[in-house]
Amino acid sequence: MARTTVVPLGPQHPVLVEPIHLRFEVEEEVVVGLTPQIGYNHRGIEKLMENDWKKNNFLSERVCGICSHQHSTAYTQAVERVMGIEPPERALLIRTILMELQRIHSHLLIIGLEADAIGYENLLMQCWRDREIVMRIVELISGNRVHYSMNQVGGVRRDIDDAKVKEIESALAKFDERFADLDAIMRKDPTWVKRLKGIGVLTRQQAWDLGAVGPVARASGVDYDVRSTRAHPFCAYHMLKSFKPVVREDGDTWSRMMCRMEELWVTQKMIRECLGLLKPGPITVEVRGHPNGQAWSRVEASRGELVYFVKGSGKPALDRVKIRTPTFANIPPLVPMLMGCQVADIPPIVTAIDPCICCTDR
Amino acid sequence: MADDAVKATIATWRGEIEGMKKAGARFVVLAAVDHLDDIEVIYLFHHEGALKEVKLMVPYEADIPSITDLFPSAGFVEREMVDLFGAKVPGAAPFLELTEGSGIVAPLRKKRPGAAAAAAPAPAPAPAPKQGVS
Repeated sequence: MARTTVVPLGPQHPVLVEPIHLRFEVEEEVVVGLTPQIGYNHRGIEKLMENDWKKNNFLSERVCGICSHQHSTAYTQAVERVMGIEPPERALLIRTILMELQRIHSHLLIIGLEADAIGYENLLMQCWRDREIVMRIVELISGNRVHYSMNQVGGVRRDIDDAKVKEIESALAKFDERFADLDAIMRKDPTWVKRLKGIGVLTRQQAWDLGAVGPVARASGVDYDVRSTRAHPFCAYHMLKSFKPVVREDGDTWSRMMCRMEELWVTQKMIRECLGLLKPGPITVEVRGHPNGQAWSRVEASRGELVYFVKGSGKPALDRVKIRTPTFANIPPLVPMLMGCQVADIPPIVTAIDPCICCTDR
Repeated sequence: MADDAVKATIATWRGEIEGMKKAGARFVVLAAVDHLDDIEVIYLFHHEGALKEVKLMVPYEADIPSITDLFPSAGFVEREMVDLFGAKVPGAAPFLELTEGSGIVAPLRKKRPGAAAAAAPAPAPAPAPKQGVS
């Protein structure tokens, strides 16, 4: 009988940029047990949000530097629901454009990091070069590359004029070729395919039971995408015909990455459709009073379903804000993914859930 | 906003959660809300495109049984509730590493356990009598 050895990975480790502790039990080279531990990066953001609800737009962006606008949108939408505010259509379209631009750069970032995790540094460079196209577009729109500060309760703070629309369209055209290259590499390149296919399998039932979200759930056949909900529409997704959830069946690491690749194509189409739907009009509505009541808000962030709960009692300070981030939901499914895998496969399997510990710990 | 909300008591609560499981609902998250002496736990489920809440209000001293036997995905958020509110969830250990050595206890409670004695301000020293300058 093989002896069980404990291998601690993190909270500080060269492979993991952010602090999470994964306590592996291995027998020879095979993982037989895993206990994940989070909380090393807790910043008390939910406590800080028991503050002026108008300032929380900016604070919610600071939960994460990758999906900052998605956090801000989820928060803003929750407050708007409490206060019964309907933002103008143009503002909803601008929010959607930024949501999807952020999805492109987030997916390119994690595809690059996955390439790095398997020693394919050239692909990392290529992905991050392409990601720069999006970073420049968001800088053009908002003046910022990371925290855009575009949302405000009742609408958005900056408009996208016709000149910017043309620049965005021209930048998006560059992705036709870039995505085609990347897609071909991810489907056919032996380095990529052999290292990722068949490892870290999460079955549909496991994904459902453990509450997986985003590309992690959809790669396992769980058709769960908040953008497709008609009961609780958010941003301008209900207006878009080009949206179609990407769902795959195999549930392995390769499928999770392919899910993101295919979403890049869909996202590019959605941004173009949004740009075409922009009609002249206001970008904000007047907001009076303070939130009095409670509401849930869900958005489909790049990593999956992001949930905000907001409760106010008619005062400037909120009573409670609860944030459930996608990685928080995707850490429990890591356990079945990693059980039985080789130690050498741990980095690509962990990277493929696109972990964001900054979000998770808040 | 949730489409449906059920206010449960500790006696009816388990039945409501089991009903969600039988219906094939998906556990989304729970949000704990502080009401000074009581804690309100709002469980959010997603079922057939609709959001459903099960609300439970109990005193802080009462046990809140875990639902991880029915919804394993609730484990992390239950443990977080122990950390941030000092709620009692049998079997759920704190895990945020907040409390060890930091003196922080239940930071999201408005009236924190043991805070009254600790927070009582020390009497201010009597001002020194003004010295006249002659």
